[in-house]
Parts: sequence; C-alpha cells; structure tokens
Amino acid sequence: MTEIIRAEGLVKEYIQGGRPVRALDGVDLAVEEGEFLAIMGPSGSGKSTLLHILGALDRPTEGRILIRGVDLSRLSDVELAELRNREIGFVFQFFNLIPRMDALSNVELPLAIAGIPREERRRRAIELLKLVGLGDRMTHRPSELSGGEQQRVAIARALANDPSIILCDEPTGNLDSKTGEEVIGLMKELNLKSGKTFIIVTHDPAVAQMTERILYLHDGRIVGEKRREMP
Amino acid sequence: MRTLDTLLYALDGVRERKFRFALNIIGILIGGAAITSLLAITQGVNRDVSEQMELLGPTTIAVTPGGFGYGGKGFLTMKDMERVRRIPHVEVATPIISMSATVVIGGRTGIVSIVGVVPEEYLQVIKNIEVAEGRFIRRGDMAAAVLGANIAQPPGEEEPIVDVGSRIAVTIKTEEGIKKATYRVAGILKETGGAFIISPDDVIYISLRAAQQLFDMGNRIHRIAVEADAIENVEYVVEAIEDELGEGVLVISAGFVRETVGRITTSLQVLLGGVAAISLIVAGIGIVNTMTISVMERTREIGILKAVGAKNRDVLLIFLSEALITGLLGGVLGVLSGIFLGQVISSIAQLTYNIVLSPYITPTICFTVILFSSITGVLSGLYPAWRAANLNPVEALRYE
Repeated sequence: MTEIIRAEGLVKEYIQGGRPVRALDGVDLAVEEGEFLAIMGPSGSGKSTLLHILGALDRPTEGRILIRGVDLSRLSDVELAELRNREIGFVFQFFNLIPRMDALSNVELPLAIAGIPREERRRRAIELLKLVGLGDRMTHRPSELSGGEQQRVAIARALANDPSIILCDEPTGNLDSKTGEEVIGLMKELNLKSGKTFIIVTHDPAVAQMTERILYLHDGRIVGEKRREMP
Repeated sequence: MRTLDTLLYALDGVRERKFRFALNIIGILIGGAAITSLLAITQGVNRDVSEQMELLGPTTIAVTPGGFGYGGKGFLTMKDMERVRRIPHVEVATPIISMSATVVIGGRTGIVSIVGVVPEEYLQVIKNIEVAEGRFIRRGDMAAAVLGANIAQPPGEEEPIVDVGSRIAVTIKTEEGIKKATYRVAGILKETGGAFIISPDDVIYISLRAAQQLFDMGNRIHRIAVEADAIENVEYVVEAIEDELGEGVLVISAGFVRETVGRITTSLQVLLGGVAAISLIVAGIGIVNTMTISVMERTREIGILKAVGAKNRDVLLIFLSEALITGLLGGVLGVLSGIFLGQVISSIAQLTYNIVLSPYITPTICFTVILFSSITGVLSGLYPAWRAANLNPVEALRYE
C-alpha cells in the first residue's frame, strides 16, 4: 500500500490568555492509502488541532506534512485551498451545513467552488445524496433533517469532489448511539467500496472499535497505537 | 468559483437578511434619489435657458444701462442707439422702453410691464413673436396695445379675460401726479415660453412713440436690442458697443447668457450634488456597519466555505458582490425615485412659488448615479469583505 499522509515532528503552539500553549508537541504519523484510522484522546489532547493541520486548514508551528509526497509547507494559501477542495473532505461534529441552503445546495458547494458547471454539479449531488441514503430528502434544509440525516448530507458534501482523504472530527459526537453507529457504518462502507482514507477523531470507544488502527494522543503527543485485523 | 456562482451565492446571502438588506438599499436609494432629482432640475433649468437662447438666435445682443434697473437713474438715449447702429456688423439696433404701470384689463387690476418698441425692427430681433388674434402694433399707433399671452389669459384662467377691440386703462404715477391713458387692444400674442431681454408673454406692447409720450421719456430709452449679422461677429460687436458707450453699460449676448447660466447651473449641480452625495456617504457607512455585523454572524459559514476549499479571494468576492448588489439595486431604485421626486419638487415649486422647473433626466445622470451608488456599495463592502476573507478558518469553525 502507498503512503498518503506523512507528518514529521508536528508542533503547534498558540497563544492563549497571553501564554503560549503547545497543542501538538512533536507528532510523527504515517497513513496508508485506504486506511480507516481513529485518533483517540481526552479533550485538550490536541486531536482536533492535529486533524486541522492534516486537513491543510492550519499550518504547524514546526514540522511538516506531506500528502502524496507533496510538502504542504511549500504550498501557498491558494494552493492549500485547492487541496482542501479536491483532495480532502471534512465531516464535523456539528455537521456545519449552511442552514439557508437545502441538502442539494450544501453538497454542491465544494463543486461550485471548484468551478464545476451547474448541471454537472446537480447531477453529482443527486448521485451522492442517493449514495448516503437521502434520495428522498434532497430539497430539505438542515433544520428539516434529523441529526443523522444532517451528518449524511455532510458526508455527501465531503465526497463531492471525490477526494482521497476524509477527515472526521467527532462525527458521532452529536448523535445518539444507534444513529452514530449507522453513520460510522456508512463511512466504513465507503472506505471499503471506494478505498478512501478515513481519519476519525473520536473519544467514543464504540466508534474506535470499528477502525483498523487507533492512535492515542495525550498532551499533544502520540502515546500509543493499537492495530487490529478487520474481518 | 465562477463569477455567476459568486453572484448567486451573494444573492442568496442577502435574501437571508432581507430586512437589513432593505434598509441598506433604502439608504442608498435616498442618496441616489436626491442626487438624481437635484441634478435633473438644474439640468432642466440649463436646458430651458439654452432652448430659449436657441429660439432667439445666437446673434442677439442686449444693451442695458449699468447700475440699478429700468426705473433707476440709468438710461440710454436715442443718440446712444444711433452710435450703436453705426458699428460695423450691426444689422439692427432698436430702442426699447419698458416700465411698470397699473393696468385695468377686463375689470381686473394689476401691475404690468408696458414695453414700447419700433415694431418692424423689434420683430427682426425677437423672432418668436406670433400673433394669435388681431395684429401686432404699428409704428404710428398711438392708442393701440398688443397683449402677451399671459396678460390676455392669465395662467389658471380657462378663457381670455379680454378680446381684440376692447379697451384697457393704464395708470402711472409721475412726479406731477397720476397720469392715465386708454388703449385699444389691437392684438393678442401666442405664448412664446419666454425670451431673452423681455418675456413677450407677460408684457403689453405699445409703439415706442406712445411709450415716450406715456412715460414722458423725451430722448431717453431703457434698452437697445441689437442683432449682429453673423455669429462670428457677435463678440466683436459686443466689444465695439462697450467701447462706444463706455463703462456703465451692460452688453449681453445670448451666448453670454447661456454661458453664464451654464456656469451657474454647473456650480449649483456641484453644490447640490455634493450635499446629496453626503447622504450617499452616510448610507455607505451604514453598509459598512451592517456588513461588519453580517460577517461576524456568518463567521462559521465563512469557516465552512474555507474548509470545503474556498480561497480568500472567493470569500472576498462573495461579500463584495453583496455590497455591489446593494449599491447597484439602491442606485437603480434611487434613479427611479429621483425621477419621481424631481416631478414632485417641480410641482411644489410651481404651486407655491409659481416657478416652472422642468427636470431633465439625461442618460448621463442615470448612469452617473447608478455608478456612484455601486461604487459606494463596493467601497463600503471593502473592509467587511476583507475581514471575512482573512478569517482564520479554524477559529471561524470554532465560532459559536
């Protein structure tokens, strides 16, 4: 298998209340293409910060990240935006859909940003919403959808430009356990069918149970790793 | 992101905040309407004056004594007129006597200008006089008068208050006492819409000799109307008259009047437009304020946009488009309201001060107002849009 993400000596410091805080303190990480990976750790351990940096939303204070061998520190902000648009999909705890837009328009957003023509955008969004099982809810706004449905829209949006990496920040954190399981099930299915790489930040052991590899983060460092053979 | 998609996204954004958007538009609209109506009115004045000048021909020149007006000390004499007549390139030079008198017409009394002219010469200079009924006065008429359109039928009257053939009584006060005269109405003029030197609509014409006798003028006259033989000689004639008659004489050509009025209306346009532009600036500040609030409220949305790959430029353009839409729409509605407002102002002016203002909307005015409104919108949107574009995506996503 080929390595898709490599992080070397990641340090992230920021100033909080006038004092420097070290959110990441030397993280090394390698992710293979098609992996289904969980990152676990208590709150404040730096999980989300790590995810943001891996997703090119933020730059590390020290260290570097390579995605398919490309060093992100060498990319301009515009190039990072393009990378986020094409190569990376985000799924958040609070879904982060745009409330005034229906499911279709939310899914179309990354496609619109990529400059894809309207008709093709619509066709692709319909396809994706059907794929996540929302074929009959496409014109509903987020407020008219249940939590599980909203997260499915978010997953469809993350898949819009057919990225190879999907980064999930507590994707089940705002769902009941049954819905959460369904959502993770959907992700697992996408992982198996399309070979997309999933990195899931969670503190839910039930979610972690469904992954092949779990990294444990504590005080900004990776303190453990558990690998399992999946059936 | 494609331009059309950016605009559509921006439109979607303003639709979500209709009330605020409407208030911003109204702000721009008021400024735009004020500028449009004021520019249109001054433009209208300029046009009206130019049209009248056009009517008279650019070769007409008026000579009046300097100082204070007709009733004052300033007089010209028939000798002055003879001197003017001898200047090269002067085709016609004709004397005019013009004084106010109390006149009784058809049972009504009013103060009217009585103008004494040498008819055949006068008509060569003032070309827009046409007789509606009867005839114009003749050189030898001593008891005939011709009435301007507004005298025979005052504005607001449905019927003329006097007929050809009826008599009018004129009373003037002299140093010796009251002097009375009676004239027969020989003719009534068509409406001319005004003229240079004297407005034919609002006066009573009698012959020069009759006027000399009535006002006891002797050799004195009030004005000289001059016609130069060609446009290119007007300037020469004006200067020659000034040289001939010396200081204290005012020589005015139609071109000079037009130029002066043009200068005055331009200054007025700048002044009034400037005052109105202040309201546009105030509206702009309102947009800065509301858009900054909007950006704060939409911080999370901006974070989402950036997470799914929007560049700073995309975000900047989205917010600038919102500002542009506000300015553009406000400008267009402002022009439309301004056209209406111009009509309202001119109606009020007509009703309360009896001033005729005809607003003149030119494509340039519309285009300028819309352009400036749009620029105001975009400039106002610049700071909030810049703020939005430069939000840190991670912090924006965390924003509650």
